[in-house]
Amino acid sequence: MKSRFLFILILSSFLLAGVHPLQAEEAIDVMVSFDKKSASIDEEIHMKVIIQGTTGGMERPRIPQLKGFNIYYLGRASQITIINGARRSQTEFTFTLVPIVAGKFQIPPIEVQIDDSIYRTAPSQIEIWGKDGQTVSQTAPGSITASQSRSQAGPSVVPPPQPIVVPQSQVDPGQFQTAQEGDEIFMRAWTDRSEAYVGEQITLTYSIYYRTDATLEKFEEEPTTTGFWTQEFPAERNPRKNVVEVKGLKYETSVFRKLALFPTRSGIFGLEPGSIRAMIVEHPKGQGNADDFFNDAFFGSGGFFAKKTPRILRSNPIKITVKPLPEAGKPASFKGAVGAFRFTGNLNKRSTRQNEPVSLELIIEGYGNVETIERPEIPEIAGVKIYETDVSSQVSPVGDAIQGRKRFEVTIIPSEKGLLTIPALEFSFFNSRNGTYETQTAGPFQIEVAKGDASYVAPMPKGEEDLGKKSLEIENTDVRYIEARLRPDLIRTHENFINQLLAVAAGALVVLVGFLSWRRRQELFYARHTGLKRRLKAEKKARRGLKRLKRMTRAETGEKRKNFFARAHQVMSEYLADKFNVSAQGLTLTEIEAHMEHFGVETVLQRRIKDFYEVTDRARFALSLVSGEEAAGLIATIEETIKTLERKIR
Amino acid sequence: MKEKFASLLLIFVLIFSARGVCAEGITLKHEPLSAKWRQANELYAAKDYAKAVQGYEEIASEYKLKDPSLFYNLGNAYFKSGKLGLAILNYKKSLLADPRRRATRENLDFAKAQIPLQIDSAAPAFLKWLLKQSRFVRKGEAVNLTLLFFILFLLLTVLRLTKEMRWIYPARRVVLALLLLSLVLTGLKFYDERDRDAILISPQVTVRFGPSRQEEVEFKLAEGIHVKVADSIGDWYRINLANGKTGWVEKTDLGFIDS
Repeated sequence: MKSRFLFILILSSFLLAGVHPLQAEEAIDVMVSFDKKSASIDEEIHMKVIIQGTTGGMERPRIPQLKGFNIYYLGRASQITIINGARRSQTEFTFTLVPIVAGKFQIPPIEVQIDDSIYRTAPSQIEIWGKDGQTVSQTAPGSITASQSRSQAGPSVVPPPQPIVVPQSQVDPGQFQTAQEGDEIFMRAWTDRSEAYVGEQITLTYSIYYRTDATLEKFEEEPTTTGFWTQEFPAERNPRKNVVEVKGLKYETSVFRKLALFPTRSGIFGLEPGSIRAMIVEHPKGQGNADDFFNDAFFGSGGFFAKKTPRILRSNPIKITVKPLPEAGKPASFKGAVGAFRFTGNLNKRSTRQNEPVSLELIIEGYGNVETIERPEIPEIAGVKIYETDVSSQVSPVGDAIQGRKRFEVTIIPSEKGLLTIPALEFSFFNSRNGTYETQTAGPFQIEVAKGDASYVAPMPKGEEDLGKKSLEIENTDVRYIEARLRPDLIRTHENFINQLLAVAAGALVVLVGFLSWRRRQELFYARHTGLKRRLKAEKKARRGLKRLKRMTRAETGEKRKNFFARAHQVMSEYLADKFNVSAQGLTLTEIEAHMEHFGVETVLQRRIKDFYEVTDRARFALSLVSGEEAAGLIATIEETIKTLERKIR
Repeated sequence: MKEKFASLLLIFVLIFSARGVCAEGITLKHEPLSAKWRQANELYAAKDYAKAVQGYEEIASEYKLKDPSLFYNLGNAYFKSGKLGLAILNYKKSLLADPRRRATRENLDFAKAQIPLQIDSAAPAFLKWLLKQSRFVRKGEAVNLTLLFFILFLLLTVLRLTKEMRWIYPARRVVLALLLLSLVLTGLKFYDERDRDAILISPQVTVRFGPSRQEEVEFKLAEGIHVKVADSIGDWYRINLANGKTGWVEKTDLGFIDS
């Protein structure tokens, strides 16, 4: 029984140990590793202190004093892996060592306290070369300068600082403006000089001072540089860092922007450096291992609980006094150039023919603002045409100075043969270093001009921009702006009405034209068929005459009665003439009778017509012999004649 | 008697009161056009494009205006609001009223350049050119021009029939030529507008083989594209594209230029 119990107890112990391997205690191991064991001065060496077997209960390793190095803490990372049931934990503390002197160094053991125990790494050796590739043959225990510790933050965090040696000439304590010292981060803008001549370079430098992790963002306000021509220095990829003390507090500092300013006029200027936005990372203060864990760089961006706070960094205005250039000693050829320059000129050929071009190249290069330099004057020469055909410039920074090169190309066309001499050309500038004017010359230039056949041709400029003119550049496109007023349009508003009006007018005209056309056709037809026309119009005409006759029947006086008979005679004769298509003049009774026979007119009517003419003839000579009944009968005869002949003759 | 008088008085008072209410209603309803116009313009200037759109749309619906400036401004406001289809639609409406307005043409071209899809016209080059030139004239203007030349031609004909003047003959020929040109122009306008013009206003338009969502998708179009509406069934329109393609789209996907 007892043995059985013991067996079970032992077996259970083994089982417990085997089934729950996670609960087995890992062995703690502490080691140090370097990404390289040799480097040159200023070359970074990354050192890791690795603790295996645990991730908690430890503090940051104590780095011993090491002379010859600047050391910076980058952060802590932890990880736990379980493989085949086996649990492994590891914590890494990363540091950067920046050697400042050459030599062979021994890194002493690094201590790590885990819970109540102290663990140590093995010592290491590092070899540092000098700039000339040689190492100093000494091995000396080094000391490591303690510096600001900061976690490995985002990509904007400046890389590990390197010691810089700032030339004293560039640092003028008097130029450091009062800033909000004591803050975790502040900015200073300063100039390398507070006085300058017109056109002389002034370098405006922006430095950042920080005691905490931070990210510089954009300039909220650009510096006001009215009255200055500016040239920006290109940003450095790895700006140099320095550790300075300001009012008892240690700061890291580096330059993040530089501008070259060239004053364009004299006076006293208050330069406003502008402001920049920064994002500072605030770490909450940890109390124990858990906080250390969560503040670990493993979580990135300064830790899990890190807080980012925006700040606007400003610097005080900078007073600049710009002195006018001295009048004394100013040469006549001076046009405002300030700096230190070299002036040269070259011809592309020494001989040419009449009216053939020669190029003269004038180059001005040196320190100063070349952009504003004007071409040296070329005097007028009789018989020579001179054109400026090309201007180009290049600017580049050299250290803290701006240097540049400006090239002018001039075309010379001589029209007379012989030896052409272009006198020496002068370029004057003010050398601000020694405060004097200097004049440099190029030439004289001689060109042998032979007899030529070519006619004079003015050189074509390479482009408008080369003559200082630029073509229009469209910088942006957008829709045109809105209309400020409504535009009522009577014609558009009443377009339909106008349409209808015009349509009606057109319709009326169509009718009119139709009618006129018809009438004209008729007239043309009748012009070709006059007999028909007479026959067709005879009745109408006769009836008009009858109407008048009827009015005349009421006449009492002899003269009017006589007129009646003459008129009746006329009406009848014209009607018969029209119907028979004969002339009414000289129409005789015999002709009338013949025509009536021809058209088959009844005998009764023939007799009546005969009687008609007898009465009307009698009335002409003896009116009193004509009775009233006979007169009335004449109208009836005309009517009867019309009625019959209209039927018989069409 | 007294009761009658009282009743009359009451009626009189009610009429005047009602009239007062109505007058106030009229006053509220007919806010001056100029004030609304100015307000909408100020909203645009302040870059509040959504509200500017609202203001212009209210003017259009309330006053039934077909002013080209109104459509132009509405087009701009839609464009700035990111509604390309509606912007192009309103530019087209503005051009319908005033086809020679340069600013509208430029803005329309700018907006059309933003359309991500290009539809090439299948029409012959000469016809395309003719149609393009004809779009500088309204249809009503073309008709009026034709009628005017026709009237002039008829007047000269009347003169020719009634009077014998030498200059009438060459003058008549010139006018006849102009009349024929204007007839061609009018013909082009009628040809161009034989189907209703519309612009796609939905950001993405699905064109199907038939007037139903159950029909297969033929292709997809972007907003701002000009189409001709050839037919309609229910809530669907059959459209013709410039490249000759045809299909059915939903009513809500397009806006008519002449509406």
